Amino acid sequence: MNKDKINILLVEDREEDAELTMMALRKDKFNGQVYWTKDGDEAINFLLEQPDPEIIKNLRLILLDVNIPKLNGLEVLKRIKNSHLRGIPVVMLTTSNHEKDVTTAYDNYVNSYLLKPVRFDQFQLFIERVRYYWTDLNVAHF
Amino acid sequence: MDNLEAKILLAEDRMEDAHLTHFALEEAGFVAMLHWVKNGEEALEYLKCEGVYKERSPIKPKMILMDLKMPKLDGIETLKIIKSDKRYLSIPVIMLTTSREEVDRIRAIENHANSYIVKPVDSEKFSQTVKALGEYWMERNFGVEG
Repeated sequence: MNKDKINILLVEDREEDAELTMMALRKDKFNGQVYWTKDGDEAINFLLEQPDPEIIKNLRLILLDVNIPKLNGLEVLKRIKNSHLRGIPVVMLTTSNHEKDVTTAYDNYVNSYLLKPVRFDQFQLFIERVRYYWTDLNVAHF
Repeated sequence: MDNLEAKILLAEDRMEDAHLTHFALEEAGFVAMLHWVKNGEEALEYLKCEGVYKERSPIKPKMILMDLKMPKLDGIETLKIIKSDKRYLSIPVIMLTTSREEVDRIRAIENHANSYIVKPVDSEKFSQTVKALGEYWMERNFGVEG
C-alpha cells in the first residue's frame, strides 16, 4: 500500500482546532493528504459530489467534529452511513461527553467516538494514536 | 480468562490464537478484563446473560474482539445479530481475522463492524497490534456505559 496516497478528511469549523490537528498530523510524519471542510454542508458536498474518485478511494478516515454549523456532526454521520460511502470509518470528536449524542452516534453506526484531550501537550499523542489505528491497523474500507 | 463482568469479550475458536491475544492483552495490562468465548452462540449468551451466564450481572463489555470463522455461529452472523439489536449495537465490534479476502471485509462493513483488523502472521507484530487496539478501544474510545 502506498501510504502517500492515503487521505484523511477533517470536518471542523474552528480554524485554530483544524490547524492544530493538521500540524499534529504533519509532525507525525503523515505523508498523505488532509482535506479540511468547515461545516456539515461542505463535508457532504465534498464526499457525495466529489469529482475525483481517487480522493474517495484513498480516504481512510473521516474525523468529524460533533458541533459544526449548517448540518451538525450527527446529521453528517447519518448521511455518510446511509450512502455508498458507509465503509469509510467515521470517528467523531468532541469535547463534551454528552450521553445522548454518544448514544445517537452509535445508533447511527459511528465507528468510534472520542473525547479530545483538553491538555495541549496530550493532543499530539492523541492524534498520532488515532491516525495510526485507522490508517495503519484498520483495513475496513471499500 | 473467565471474568464474568469483562470489559473485553473475545470470541475466538482457536485456542492458540486466544492465548496469543490473552498474552498481548496481559502485557498491555488489560487481561483482568477479558472473557473468552469459543463461538458466536456463546458470545450472544454472554451478552444476553443466558445459559451458563444467567447469573451474570448484565454489564456490557467495552469492546468485542471477534474472529470471523467460528463454529456454530460465525463472526459475521454474530455481528449482524449484535448490530441489529438496540441493546447491544453501541458496543464496538472489532473483527480480528486472518482473512484478507475482500468479500469478508465487505460483509463485515455492510454489517456495521466498527473496525476490521487483519491478524499479522508474525507473533511479535500480532502482539503489538492487539496491544494497540486494546489501548485504542479501552482507553481512548468513548462508549455508552451500562
